[in-house]
Amino acid sequence: MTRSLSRRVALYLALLATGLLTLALTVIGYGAWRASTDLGAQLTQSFVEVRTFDETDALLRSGSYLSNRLFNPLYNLDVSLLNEEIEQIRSWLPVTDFLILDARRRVVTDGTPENRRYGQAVAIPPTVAPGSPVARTADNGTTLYFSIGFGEEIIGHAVIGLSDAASQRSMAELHAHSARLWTRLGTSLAYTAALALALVALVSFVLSWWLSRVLSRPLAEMTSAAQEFAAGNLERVLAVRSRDEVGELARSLNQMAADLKKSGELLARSQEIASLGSWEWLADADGLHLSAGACRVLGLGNQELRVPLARVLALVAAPDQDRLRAVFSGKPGPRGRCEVTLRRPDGVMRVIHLVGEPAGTQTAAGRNVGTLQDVTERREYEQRLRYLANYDVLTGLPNRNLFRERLRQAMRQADRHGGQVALLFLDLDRFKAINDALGHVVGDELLEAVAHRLREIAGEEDRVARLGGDEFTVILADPGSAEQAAAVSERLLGAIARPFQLAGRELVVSGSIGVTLYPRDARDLTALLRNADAAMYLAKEQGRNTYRFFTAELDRKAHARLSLEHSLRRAIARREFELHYQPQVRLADARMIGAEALLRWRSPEGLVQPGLFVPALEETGLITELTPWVLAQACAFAGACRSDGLDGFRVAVNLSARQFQEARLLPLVARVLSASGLPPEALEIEITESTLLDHDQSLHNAEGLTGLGVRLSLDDFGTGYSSLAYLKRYAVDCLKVDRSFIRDILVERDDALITGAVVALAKRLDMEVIAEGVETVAQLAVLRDLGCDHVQGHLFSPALAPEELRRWAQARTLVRVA
Amino acid sequence: MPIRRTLSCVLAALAGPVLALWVASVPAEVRIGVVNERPDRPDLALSQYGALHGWLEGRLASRGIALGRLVIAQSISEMIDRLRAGEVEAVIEGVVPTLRMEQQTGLLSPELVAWRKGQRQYTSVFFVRRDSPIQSLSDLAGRTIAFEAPRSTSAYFVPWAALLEHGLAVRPLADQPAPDAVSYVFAGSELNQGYWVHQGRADAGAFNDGDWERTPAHLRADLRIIATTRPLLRWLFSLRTDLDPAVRAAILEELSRAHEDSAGREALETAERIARFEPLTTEDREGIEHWRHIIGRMPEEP
Repeated sequence: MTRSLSRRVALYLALLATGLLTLALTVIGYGAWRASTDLGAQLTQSFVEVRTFDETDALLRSGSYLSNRLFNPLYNLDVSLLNEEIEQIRSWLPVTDFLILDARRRVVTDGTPENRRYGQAVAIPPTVAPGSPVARTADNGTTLYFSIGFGEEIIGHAVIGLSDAASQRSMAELHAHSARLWTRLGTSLAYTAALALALVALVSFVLSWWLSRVLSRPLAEMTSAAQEFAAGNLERVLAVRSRDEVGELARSLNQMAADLKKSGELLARSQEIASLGSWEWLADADGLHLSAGACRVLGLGNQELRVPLARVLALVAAPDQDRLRAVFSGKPGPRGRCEVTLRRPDGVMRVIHLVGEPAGTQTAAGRNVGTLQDVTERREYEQRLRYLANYDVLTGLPNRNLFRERLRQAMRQADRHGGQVALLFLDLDRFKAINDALGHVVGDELLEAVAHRLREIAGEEDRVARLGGDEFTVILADPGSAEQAAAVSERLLGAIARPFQLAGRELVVSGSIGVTLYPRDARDLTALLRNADAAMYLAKEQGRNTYRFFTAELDRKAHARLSLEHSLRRAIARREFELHYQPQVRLADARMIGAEALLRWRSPEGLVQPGLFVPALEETGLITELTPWVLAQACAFAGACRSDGLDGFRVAVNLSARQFQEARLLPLVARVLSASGLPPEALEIEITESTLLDHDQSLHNAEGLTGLGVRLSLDDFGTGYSSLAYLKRYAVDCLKVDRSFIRDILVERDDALITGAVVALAKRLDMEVIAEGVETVAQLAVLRDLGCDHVQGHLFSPALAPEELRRWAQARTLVRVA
Repeated sequence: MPIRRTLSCVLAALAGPVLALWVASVPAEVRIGVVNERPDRPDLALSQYGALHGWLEGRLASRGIALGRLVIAQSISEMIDRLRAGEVEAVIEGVVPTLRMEQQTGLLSPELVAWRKGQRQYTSVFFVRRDSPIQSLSDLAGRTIAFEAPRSTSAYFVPWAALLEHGLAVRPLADQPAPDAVSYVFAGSELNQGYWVHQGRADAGAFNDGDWERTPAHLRADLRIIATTRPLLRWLFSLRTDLDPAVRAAILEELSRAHEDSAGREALETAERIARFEPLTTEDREGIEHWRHIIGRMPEEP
């Protein structure tokens, strides 16, 4: 077919060229014929006119000459000489007839030996006279009449018939020449046409060959390649022989094949990854055509197969065979699907998801196509997700989500049967400390062990749940009485109290349990959980390792805490907080070196003590919202004090663990210092030891603050782990002896020793020591004896409002000066 | 006397070879002479005899005989002078001029007769208008006769001689025809003779029988022959009598065989339609002798 394309194109061009050539030759031939015809006619006309004119003129002018020449012979009747004269004149002129007449106008001679017209009378035009020849034109030429005489004496006449045969011959010759030219032109045109046709044929042949070479052959190759591509052979690469559209097409086909191959590989790989395959069911053979992916899924190899349907059905259990057959045969409907578990030939069980639909139009029964996919992992994952959504990974106990579901179920059941539900909320005592001290791994092991013991006590697995951290719940629904709850609580505490063998050591822990009853204490789940939580805190407050029931008082406190949180949020919004400052005095010269900033809440009801709202701020996390403001206020105040002449004045700001663990802390401090113009060493950040423990951000911030030049102070030193490693690791500038040691320093020898040891340790580590809570002169004296550097406490001043402190400082300066 | 006889014998003995040498002298080249028939057309003779002269020159050259240039004389008398001057070795001419040159020079001898214009010999005829009262030569006395030209043999000399033989006086026409003689005029051509008689310019005319046949038929129909003359050979080739016999023989042989090859025939045809040359027969020589006798009695110039 593609061969015929080139031939067809060549044929069309040949026909076109032939047509144009024929037209051109016809036009040329017609034009030449027309021109030659017109020119011939014009030439003939012109020639005749010119020749006739010339000859007549010549004859008339020669009449007199001939008259004289013929006079003597005629006079002498010298016929021979007359004949010679006639013969001579015939050699000059195209004479047809030459008659010489005597005076009686009878023929003397006609110039021939026979002289047949001798004696005949001939008419002479009357106008003929000596010197006046007459020429008359006839059909076949011109007749010249003249007299022969001498002077006025006429001895005869001459009649000369002049033929225009020469003209006719010339005309005939002209026409013959014209005809020969025309014939030659026709022949030339014919030769030209033949040559041109041969040339057209040659060009057509060459064009056909060339088109075949540059178009048809590549197209045939591309057609073959396209068929091979369609058949799946994508390895073939077409030769790109040119840089034109054909070459571009070949290049595009190669690219298409490469893309198809890549896509096919990607599809195959995707199917392989997705464990996906396709199938085709043919009703007439009741067989399946399985793709390689489908074969892989079914464990039948890696090549496409045609297998009987029965072979695939045999892989599933009998109850699933009908469902499977239905999908393959399209019986469920246009788009059937099912999911079955099959045992592959290698014995592996897999879950297969099958989708099928009729091929082509829905009316074309007898052929269905579809996909099958190994969804085993997906189903396992989904199961795992469901498990993770409802169970605690660490302990295997139901998590908060499932707990709420279980509790809701128990509440409904209680509602239905008029019973009640007891909810036990257990929290391990000091678990955070254990976790911090021994590490998360040990903490997790402990939680697992605790969960195990709880499950042992609670019996049914789903009755125990872990809400998070070290918080566990137990739902008691039948009977759910207070007695049962108390008994179970005791058993649970007892189980927990037994030592745990973890990480090669024996660990003794305890727990606190809060108990609440449904519907007695609350009717909704959230309230019920809050009640249990409150009861648990009550147990902790009352000594830990015990359990407490929820009471009306607890309910009130819970509401109060909620109310406080609300009030604090409002206070932040209304900027009801302010900073007070307690002076810090250098023992050596009783000079104020700085002050500790302390947060105060001036609520609409009056000033609230820190112990009433700071814990709530820390617990709710609202404290972090105050960090920028606190730092800015403190730094601004220190700057003001320095401006007042308190050289070297520094301000100490307490930051809770939450505040200190904020990633924004370092840039915040840098920005505040820059804004206030306060030198970094005039700012001291007070943190507790536990803030630094195993918290990367805290450690990072501590190093960063030191890098900025900000002083770092350890608050409540001695009450925690007092890790000397931290003191060495971080450039702590100051140790702050907890007020609990100072309070009884005069009566408790240990407190005095500890204080002395802290002071000594600080000295050895080149740190400053400040004692807080100094209220008496005696305490001050002991501290001076111990070598303590600085003190703060009511002995000098309670925390004061900023302006009060500035006035206090000025007054104190005056006193000391005085 | 014996001495004189002896001396005479010696002189005779010496004179024989000398005379023989003198008579049979061999010229450096052989020259053929012709008399131009038309003095006004000098080229006529050349155009007539040039081809034959050229042909013969080639033939004789192969025999070691050189043929000189063709000698064209404007008249018989000139040719006679040239014969006498030894400038001509051969002459082609009619019978009467040949015999006249023979008689006046004694150096010429007719050798060959030519078939010319289809005639080996001819007779001259006397003719008048058919309606003329003249019936015989005798009726011509006091009449005018038209001859062709003074040089013409058949249309002047032969009829003139016949009239003389018939006892008539023949004179040129004066103002009026002489009553006792036949007055003659020259018409210039045989054709003119016919027209002149027909037109009445002359009462009679005479030319050879060939011219009579060539006279236009309708003209001839108005004419009538009243007398004919004795036959006369048509044309003669003559050689000098003193020409070397071998040269003479060679020339005569070549001319006698000229008609045998195509080039020779063509050359003969050009030379006034000559068909061939033949040696003179005895009868021919008798005829020549007759005319030699008549010419001997003729005045020098008719």
